[in-house]
Amino acid sequence: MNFLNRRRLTPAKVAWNTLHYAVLCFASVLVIAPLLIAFIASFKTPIEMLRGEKTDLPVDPLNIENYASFLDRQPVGISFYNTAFVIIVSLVIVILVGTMVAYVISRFRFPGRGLILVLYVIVMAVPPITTQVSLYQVMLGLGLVNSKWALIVLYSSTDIVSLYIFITFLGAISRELDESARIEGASYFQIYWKVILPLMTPAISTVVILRTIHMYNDFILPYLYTPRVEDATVSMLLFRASDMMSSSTEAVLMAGIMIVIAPTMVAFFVLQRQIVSGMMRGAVKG
Amino acid sequence: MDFSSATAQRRLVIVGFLIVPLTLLAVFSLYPFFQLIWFSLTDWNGLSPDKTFVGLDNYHRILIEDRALLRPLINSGYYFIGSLMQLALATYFAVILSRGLPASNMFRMILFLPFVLNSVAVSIIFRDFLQLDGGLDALMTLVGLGDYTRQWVQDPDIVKWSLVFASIWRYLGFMLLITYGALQAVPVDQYEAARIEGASEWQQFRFITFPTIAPILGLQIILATVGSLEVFDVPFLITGGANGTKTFIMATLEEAFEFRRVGLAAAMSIILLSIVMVVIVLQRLLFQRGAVT
Repeated sequence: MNFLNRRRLTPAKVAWNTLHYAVLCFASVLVIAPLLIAFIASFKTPIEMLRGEKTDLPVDPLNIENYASFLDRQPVGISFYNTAFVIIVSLVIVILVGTMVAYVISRFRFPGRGLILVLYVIVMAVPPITTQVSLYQVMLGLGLVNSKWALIVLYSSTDIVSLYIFITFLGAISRELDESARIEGASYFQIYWKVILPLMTPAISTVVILRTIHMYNDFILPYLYTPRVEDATVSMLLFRASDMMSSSTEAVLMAGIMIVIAPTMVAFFVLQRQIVSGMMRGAVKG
Repeated sequence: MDFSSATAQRRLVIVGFLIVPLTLLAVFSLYPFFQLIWFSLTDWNGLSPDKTFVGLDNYHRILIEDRALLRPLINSGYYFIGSLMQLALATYFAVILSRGLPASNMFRMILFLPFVLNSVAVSIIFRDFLQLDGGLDALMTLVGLGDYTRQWVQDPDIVKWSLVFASIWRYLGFMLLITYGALQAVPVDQYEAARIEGASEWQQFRFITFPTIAPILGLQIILATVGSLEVFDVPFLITGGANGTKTFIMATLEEAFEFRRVGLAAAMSIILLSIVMVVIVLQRLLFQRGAVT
């Protein structure tokens, strides 16, 4: 759309563009301000926090005391380990199970196929948060409460949106490749493993992005199912830390927050193109 | 390859590939759903081995006897109004950003950033930002608006809008992105033609842009409605439900896990679920009508 800009700029147009820019700048300041103030606070001493204004810059911008203190007193390592474990295992399950369902649904006609699709559509309409009251009892019965596996099981079994992404993606790919593999004598499993799975790489990367962001940021499931320190994810790490902290250790908590959002920030700036397009694809389908 | 073994292999792959996902679906989605209906008809406390069937007593209590139980649902109204403002803003930003102004990619990324950050992290950041003499007050003082600071979280009349603001801050970029995606489908040559005919910017939006993105905007209104019925993270982490900011989900989880009234909480869940279902069915009807005309 760049050629539009080369059009003659009338004074009215310049005025409008200036106004649009002003609004954009104002909104951007509002978006960044809370994050920036928290970032600044993470370098401040307790006295600076108490006496100074929130917008004052830290006296010593290299004061990493708060970071050291948070890393020292909070279970940071185990929480990051738990989060990574949950995300990786859930992703493997979601990808394998999701692509298998997509393969069977889009390449075979069999009795019950329509029923399965209808069930998934109904379940997709039920927001998971509304069934937690009874789901919790199921998890208790299976002995999964207070276990990382509760999160893994729920992230991978109630994720119908990813399934939907896989099914629509595979449905749009022609069957030529798998049919010729069939003629060459490949078994259905070999076709799935050697033809379908590689073909689905773009859909898989969309799902990996959407699900990783969701699982890293989710609060409700860890809050209900992994409240203990030893199974805590990064969300619970911050939640517990914020419960323990007083106003005198506010800066330490801000350092903890920066530690948790740092990996997301880095990934966001490195992978922004992929994240944005993945989100657009996933959101419209969800 | 012999035909009967091909059929057997076909059957094996269908059953083998579906058995795990269908078991997961049954155990973690379907079974809890039916169990929820059953719990809602009992007075179960979550611990005792006996569940006494009480018919529709729980529903009667929520809908007729004890209106306090339904009150948190009113808070959804604030979030709904907030999400309509958010949609209007997101559409405005998406339209001006899609024109390829210089630095528009940077603005888009900034506005989108809060959506990808950890829920607890941004909620604590906002809790601090809104507190007395917090970041917002300092910022306002800095630009000379110090006289207009308020008790953003302590004042019961203001706190709901503060939470709505926090929620817009968090989700605006997401709506922007969806609308931005929809805008890519608007045919560029139509703008050229309209400009040659002398159409104003507003007319271009009204007659070219809007009709193209209307279905996506409709979908977003439905998402916003369902979303405002399910608000949990932001108010739970910022105020803990104090000052009349409790949402219906918070009230339901509290009944179930703190007061141990699982039967009552199940009935509340079913009521919420029914409202969500009505919204979704309405969407289907509206969309189908839209498709016909």
